Amino acid sequence: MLKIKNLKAGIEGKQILKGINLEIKPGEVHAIMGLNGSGKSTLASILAGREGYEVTEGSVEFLGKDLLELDTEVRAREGLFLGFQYPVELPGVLSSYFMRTALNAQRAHKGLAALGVREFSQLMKEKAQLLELNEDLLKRAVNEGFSGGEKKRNEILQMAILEPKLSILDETDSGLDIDALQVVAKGVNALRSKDNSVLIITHYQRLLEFIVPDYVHVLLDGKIVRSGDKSLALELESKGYNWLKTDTTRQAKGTP
Amino acid sequence: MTSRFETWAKSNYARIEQGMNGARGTALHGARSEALNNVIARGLPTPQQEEWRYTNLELLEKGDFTQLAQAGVVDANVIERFTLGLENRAVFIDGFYSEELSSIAYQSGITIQSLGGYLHATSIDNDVNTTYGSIPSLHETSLAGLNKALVQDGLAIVVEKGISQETSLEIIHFSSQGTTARLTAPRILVIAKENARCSVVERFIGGENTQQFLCAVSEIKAHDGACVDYYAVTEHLEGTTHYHSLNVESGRSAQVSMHLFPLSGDLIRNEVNVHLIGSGSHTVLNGLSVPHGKQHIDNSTVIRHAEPHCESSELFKGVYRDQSRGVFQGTIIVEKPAQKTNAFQSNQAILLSKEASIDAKPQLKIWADDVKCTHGATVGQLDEEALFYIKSRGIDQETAQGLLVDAFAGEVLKSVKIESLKDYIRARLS
Repeated sequence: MLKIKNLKAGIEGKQILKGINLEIKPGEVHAIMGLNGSGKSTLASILAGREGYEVTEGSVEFLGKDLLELDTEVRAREGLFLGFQYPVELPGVLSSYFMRTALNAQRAHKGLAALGVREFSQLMKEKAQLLELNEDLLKRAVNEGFSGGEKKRNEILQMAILEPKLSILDETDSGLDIDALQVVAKGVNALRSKDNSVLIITHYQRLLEFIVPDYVHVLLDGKIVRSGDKSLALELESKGYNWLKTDTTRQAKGTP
Repeated sequence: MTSRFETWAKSNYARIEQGMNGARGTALHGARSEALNNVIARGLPTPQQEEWRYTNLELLEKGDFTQLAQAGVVDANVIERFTLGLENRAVFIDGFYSEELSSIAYQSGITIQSLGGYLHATSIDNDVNTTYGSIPSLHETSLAGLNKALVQDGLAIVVEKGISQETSLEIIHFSSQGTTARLTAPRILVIAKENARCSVVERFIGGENTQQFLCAVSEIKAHDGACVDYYAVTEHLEGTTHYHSLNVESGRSAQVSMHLFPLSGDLIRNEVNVHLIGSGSHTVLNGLSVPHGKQHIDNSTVIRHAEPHCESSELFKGVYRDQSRGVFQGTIIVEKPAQKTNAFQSNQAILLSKEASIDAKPQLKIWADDVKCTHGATVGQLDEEALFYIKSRGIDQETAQGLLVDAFAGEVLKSVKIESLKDYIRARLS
């Protein structure tokens, strides 16, 4: 699904990612954890194609294609989805129209016929029910005046409609109360399948109680310093990140 | 020294005089020659004048714009392409009323008449006589007087007390195609008497490669309790310099709502003068400019609150592409008696290209002490983060931009009450 090899990248001449290696296979759920400034969101941004970042070394392969060569919208049509840390408000842009335009762009890319208003609204209704979401969200302007929780739920609803192969959830749990967190987790779990993969980016292991990952990676100062299974998340919860920091410092100095 | 402007203004005037066949004793004849003398005495506006700093009409000194002796031909297909399909329609070609292309719905209590008749009549309807040309412009070197001197035809709409117009009236000013540089001076006058209601859409459509100076005036007199909706849509293809003076007087508890859509034109200068002269009067003045290429669109407005408890709400938006330029000058005057005034003004521009630009100059002149006035101006690009968000869902750059432009313009379109007009403008945005 996704192969990241020795990815080095930065912004305005400042190096942030210092050689990331990561492979995600179909059906797997990976979690990347790390402190603020470790490069988590930079990684998500680069994968989705946000402008302003410079890749200096390495490669990213998505479903056999060179991901970094593709425009943002093509990445999305190919099946990559980024759940935003801060979903953007689009006043005056109706959610249902926005999502129908997005879905039809993806369908055109795959050579499928466009969905009409009626078919789309049926699909939207089904997805909203599946996620136990209020479909009124789609009758409003995209994210306009939504609460933090509503915005995040709307991201999951968009994800459900677009049915991506790889979903990257960038700190989807931040700012969510426990109820909203459960709704979001429920949505992600409902969409899990043997063909779809998920990459969760988070500070805390809280979300990982509800979406159980197959692998957990710790990102520190632009590098994955440790990988493990879900127990690594628990270890981080109890011990914090400092013990890993010392680890890397030692590694850097060449001491065991 | 006689300026070129003076020479051509006089020769155009002389041509009209001849056409009058000696009917010089007409009621409006005196007003005509007086206006000519005023315009000549003042001359053309120059960039040295504060209100004309950003818009240059000096080309009028160079071009030999002549009024056509008769209307040219506009293809029926062209008319169909541009019309909104309203049942009630008056069509002018090159400033001349076309009986053939117009279809005016008859309604008791509403008189819709060609102004040409009034201009040649020795005695005219008292309402038209007292209102015609009576609403003063608050702009420096207004060219409304040039229209008054040179107008050949137009439309007068009088809605009697308490009468509600059933269907909106669409007035279309077409310019035929042709190589002669021409001057067109169309004019309309709307009088809504006490508690009357009406809606008028005025369209200015210039043909391809038409060298034209269009000098238009529209007057709206809303008597006490009247309600008038006015829309102006300007879309000249190429070669037209468009000057439009819109003068409004709103009486006690009257409501006048105006929407200007300067969509396209080499150079457009809209001057709006609104006088709120009765207490409790309420006005809405909205505009949307969408120039492209090297087009220049100037919206200069003055709203004068003369009486207490009046409200004005003004919103001008613009989407500027390529090397286009925008100007917004918005003045709000609150006179001493106009206590409890509520005035709101906002100007928002989006520049879609690095070479596009806008000059915005909001101005408040307040003499009363118990008022609420707010104004603001913003200029920016489309939000990069919003574009990225939309693209990250699979939508291409151009469509993403279109979605955001549509949403931006939506705020102005929201208050348009004619659905077909709303759709028409929306379709013109992309």
